[in-house]
Amino acid sequence: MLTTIRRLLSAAIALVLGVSFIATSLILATSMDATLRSAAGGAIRDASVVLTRSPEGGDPAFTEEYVAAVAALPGVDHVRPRVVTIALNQQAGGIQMFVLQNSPELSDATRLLAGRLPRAADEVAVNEVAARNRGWSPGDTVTLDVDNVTDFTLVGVIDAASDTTTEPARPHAFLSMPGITRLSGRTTYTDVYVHGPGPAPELVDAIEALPGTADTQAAVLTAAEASDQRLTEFTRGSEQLTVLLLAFGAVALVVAGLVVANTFAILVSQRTRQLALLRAVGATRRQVFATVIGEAAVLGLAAGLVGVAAGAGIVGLIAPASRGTAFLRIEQVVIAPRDVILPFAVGVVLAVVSALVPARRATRVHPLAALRPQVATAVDPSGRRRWPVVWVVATLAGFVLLALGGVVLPRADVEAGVTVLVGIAGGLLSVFGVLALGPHIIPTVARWLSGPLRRLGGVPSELAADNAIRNPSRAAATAGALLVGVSLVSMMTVGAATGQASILRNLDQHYPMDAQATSMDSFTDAQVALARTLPDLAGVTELFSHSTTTADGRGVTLMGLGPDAADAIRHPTLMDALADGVLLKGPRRGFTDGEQVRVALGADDVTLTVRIDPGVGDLSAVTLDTLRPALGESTRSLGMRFADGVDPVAATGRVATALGEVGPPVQILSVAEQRAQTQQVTDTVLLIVLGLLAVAVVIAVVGIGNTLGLSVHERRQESGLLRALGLTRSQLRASLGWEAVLLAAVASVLGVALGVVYGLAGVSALIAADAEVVVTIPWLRLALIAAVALLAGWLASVLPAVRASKVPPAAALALGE
Amino acid sequence: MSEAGAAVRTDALTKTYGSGETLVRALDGVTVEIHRGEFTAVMGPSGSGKSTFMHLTAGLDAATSGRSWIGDVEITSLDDTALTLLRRERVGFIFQSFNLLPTLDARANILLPLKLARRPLDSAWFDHVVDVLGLGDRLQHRPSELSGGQQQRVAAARALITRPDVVFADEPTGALDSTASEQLLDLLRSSVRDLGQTIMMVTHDARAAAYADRVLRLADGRIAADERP
Repeated sequence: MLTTIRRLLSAAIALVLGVSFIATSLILATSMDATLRSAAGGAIRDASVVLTRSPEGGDPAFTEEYVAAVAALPGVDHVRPRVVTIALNQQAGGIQMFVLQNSPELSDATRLLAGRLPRAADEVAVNEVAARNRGWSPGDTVTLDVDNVTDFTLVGVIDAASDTTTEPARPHAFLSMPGITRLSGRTTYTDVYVHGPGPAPELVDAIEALPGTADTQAAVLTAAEASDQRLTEFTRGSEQLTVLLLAFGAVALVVAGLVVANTFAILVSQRTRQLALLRAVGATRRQVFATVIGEAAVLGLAAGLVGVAAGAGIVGLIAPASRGTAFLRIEQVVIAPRDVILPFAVGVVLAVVSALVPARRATRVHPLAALRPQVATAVDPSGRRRWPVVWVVATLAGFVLLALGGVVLPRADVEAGVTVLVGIAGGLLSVFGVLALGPHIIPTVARWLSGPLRRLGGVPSELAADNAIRNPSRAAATAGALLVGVSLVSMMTVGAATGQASILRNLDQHYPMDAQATSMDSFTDAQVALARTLPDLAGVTELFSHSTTTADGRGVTLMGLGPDAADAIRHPTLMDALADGVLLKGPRRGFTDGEQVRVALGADDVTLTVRIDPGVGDLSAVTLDTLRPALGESTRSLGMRFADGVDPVAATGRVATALGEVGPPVQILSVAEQRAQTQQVTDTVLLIVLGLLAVAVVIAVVGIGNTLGLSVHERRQESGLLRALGLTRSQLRASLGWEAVLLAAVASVLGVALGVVYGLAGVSALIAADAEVVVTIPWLRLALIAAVALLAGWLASVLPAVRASKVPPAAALALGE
Repeated sequence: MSEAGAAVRTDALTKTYGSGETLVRALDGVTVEIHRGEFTAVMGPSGSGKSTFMHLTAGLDAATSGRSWIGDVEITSLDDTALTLLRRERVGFIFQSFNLLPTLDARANILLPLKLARRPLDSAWFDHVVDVLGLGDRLQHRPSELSGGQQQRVAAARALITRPDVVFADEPTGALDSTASEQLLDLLRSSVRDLGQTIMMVTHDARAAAYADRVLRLADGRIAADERP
């Protein structure tokens, strides 16, 4: 082995991080899949045949008689019919949606925690989640609402596991069949599970032969088929998650590859003498190549093993925390063979591929080099190399494509799929171009930045500035990895901020009112009167909506606005455009200004003139008088405007509660709540994305420490000379710190600049065709990113610097003789 | 010569490596004075301790026992920072190789000690040194663009620029051909004669030692002879 383990340690860490990212993603996917599979198909238990909804048809309705007929078939031991639907429960805390099922069959997993199962029509049991949320215990009264509000007595609490329901984390209510009928009038089941000892296909045939089966329009499936069907519905979301995670893993691996390649390049150049000696003594070029590649392979193997183990460990740590969430639940860690083999193989392949170019350079070492005195790394005379034209052109082309995809094409109404593709192509091309031009760009930027730096840091920083760029390709490789990380993080930050601002602005533009209240039943006059007096609301108006179609087949939901609509609408000028006989629509929704449309209203056909006003958003507004022929068939709702300074989320709850006390329950769709939710969702997604990208940044920083450590070792004679001439230990440490900070600064400046460009272009490519892009550049966050990168760069230099400063000058110099 | 005028003085200076059976005495209790304004050569075969002697007296390495002075400052009692500052102000170095920073040109290399000490440049002195060493047309070049002889002359200029109490030269002609060697040694000699510079040179080359005023011979870590050729 040519190289000591310590020299390879940083490269090993980089590889381990990348490999474990991939391993974690894959194991996470497998475990989630297993959990989903048991959740999705759990209700099947050990049934042979499942009668359920078919993909084309609607909800089947299995009557008691039909179920009895199935049970009477020979070969059928036992049938388990099931109803799954929804009911509402309203309490002081608000309206909550419960999953409503018929009383389950108890099992090892589904157990009674208190009381018993419901039998009579006025008895109910709930699951543990519900009991905890609402503070119920047996004996309490539970009010459920489907079409009527009905009271039940709580007789039991059940631990409903995944063999009873697909969503154990949601609140459930269980009623006997009579109870369900009492509540909603429903007398039929939605699924039937058939248990029997014989082969499933025969049972399927027998059931299909039953006279009632065709009427139910249900699918008769074997248990395996049913399980697959359920799973497909469930896993669509988790597949996307896996792809996303793997994409981030790929980024981490690319950065790790850069670090490994850089490491081997440096090591080869430092081992010139040893390699030359090998060649002089009789090793062939191929043997030298094999030696370097062999080291890389061993590195990859070791990193692969550690990475996979780490990945499994991480998922094991995540698993308990995930059980609280509905979506990412993992019951237990499951590892498929591909979860081990793939990351492992990737680690080995990446290590070997990254070492290919340095290995080839190793073969070119001339045996005579063993006899010459070792020269420190060659210094490039002030970078007077010519810039490679090909890459300059490619980079510029990349940015042009980016501008096309981000700005020009969306304005020309090209659809989002195409603009995004063009934008991605431009982004990738420009990034590769910048990285390829690294040996030119990075020293240039470093020289600009080092001007002020020299004045700041004195002698150590002057030394640092010279040393940082003496080897342009090495500086480029080191800073390049961090550049990729910083630009990705900046891109996400800017993209999220701009995207969020744009979505929020567009939300405003879609809904001209703050909130809209709809009733479960229909509004009582008492409710309307009360609403007008509530302090949270500054304006209330009655809305009447009626869905109809135009004569040429366009569907439109007309919203009748009364004279007091101006109180509730945020753009009161909108009312000026509205008059009898006018249909007010928003722009780009398929209608043109001045158009005459005929719509069916009640018994009549009416001709309306279309007027376009952006303030009306998604509504199709008409006056109340215009809508009069269809008023009887219209749904009444309330449009509301919140008082100034009121917290919309809290106000929504208070208004809903207040109105619910004087009439049927009320649901409020609040734009402000949607705004708050959108903000929360984008913030959470951003945090997660940044967390994932942080891995890549950590790898890049490890790379800086790596390069610095190896360079310091290489320059030890120079360091010895400087110490002899009068550089103190702390000055030596400072100069190394400045070197790292300078490279990190270059990476930050370029990375943030690129990130801003890519982030804006990305968001624009996605949404500019349909919505307004609100350019938002979160300067504070970007400054924070840069600061973290600088700090991390400095931290990476601490260990090498301390080690370098401890060597006595004589020892450092003597090593050269 | 009186003690007060000694450029470098040692008292039972010792450097050992290892312990017990593997103990190596690189320098074994050397007591000697190097006089001001003299060109002193320290000679001996490999392993005689001559390089160790130079490293210790120059403050580049720590002694195991004994004491050493540069002028009237006892360097064996100084901490690293104080020692470094002392070297900055009062010592000049010429090494056998790796004398120059490859990132700086000749002029910057020569002025490096002044920059480290934050001392202003005396242009007249700089021009004189450059002139004497024949480097006038080479100032803008980097070490990679200079011959071995030129590099050593740049190193000599650097050693002289701060007008140190003593210049330590460790095998300065080791990597040079005979012409360049003669040139360098001539220059060192004249700086002693004309500028009153004190120089201590470690060498194994008898012809180089012939340029010196005094030759100390070391063997097995001790002074074996003290001659004036």
